[in-house]
Amino acid sequence: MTGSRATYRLVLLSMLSACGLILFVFESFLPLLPWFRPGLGNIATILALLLFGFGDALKVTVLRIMLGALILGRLFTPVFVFALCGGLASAIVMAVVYRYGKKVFSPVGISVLGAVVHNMVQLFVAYLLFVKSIEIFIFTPIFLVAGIATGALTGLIASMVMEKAGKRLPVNEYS
Amino acid sequence: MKRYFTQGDIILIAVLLVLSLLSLGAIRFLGVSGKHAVVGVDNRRVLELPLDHDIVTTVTGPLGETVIKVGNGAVCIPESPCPDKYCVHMGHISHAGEILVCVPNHIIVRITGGKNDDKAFDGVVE
Repeated sequence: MTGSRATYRLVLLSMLSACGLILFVFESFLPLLPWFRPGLGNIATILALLLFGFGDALKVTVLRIMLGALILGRLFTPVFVFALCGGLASAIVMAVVYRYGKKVFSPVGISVLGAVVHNMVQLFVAYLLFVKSIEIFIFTPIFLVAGIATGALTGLIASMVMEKAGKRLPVNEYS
Repeated sequence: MKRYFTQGDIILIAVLLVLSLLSLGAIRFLGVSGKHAVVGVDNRRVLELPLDHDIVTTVTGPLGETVIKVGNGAVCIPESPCPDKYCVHMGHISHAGEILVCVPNHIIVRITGGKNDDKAFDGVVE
């Protein structure tokens, strides 16, 4: 990798992190249902995964969650722990599925799987660390359906962005 | 739209939808008709309220007193000292297995099925 290419990748990753962060902070202000967020920041993770691969997708995700928590003043609160566990698990699952199931699933499918994993891991972490009562799993159906809907939405947006911008970015040769 | 989806995606979404329906069915199946509201703090059962007796009471958690209200066969949390008030916004619950949770104040209100609830108590404090 030459110097300019490394710079190119650095700039793109920084932009993706910043965009993801802005979406993440923006959606935290949406007055929707208390526990429901569309997870728009995940678009940045998917794009990083498609453009650069697993390691960089993970970097974008962790940066977004850490900086987002700093901005919103919830670093190391339960909400932050949920977001970090869910975000990491979802990024890992999406990376594995993308690597081995690229032909079977489009980014939409990968994103749906990531969102569902994100929600279920959050529920599980809430059970293990905070609520400790099995009744919390009554939210399972809602969390699953919400994951499908939001995952399809973010995956679709990511696909559209890739279609518009992906061809113009000479990044495929780096991954 | 079609170019953004593959067949795998549609199968995946269908499987997940069936899964969520199954989990919904499992919850409905396990939960019988609601009779008692069990209030827990820090996983300790502190209060048991029959749903057919209207009552307003308070439970103390680490942040302070959370108000628990039973009325018309349903339970709700009208007031809580927690910052986000998610528990207040959760509204009323009346079916067995349903819960109200206040994570900041460590309080869970759970409705249990009314199989052996012929005891003549207004409430049980443990």
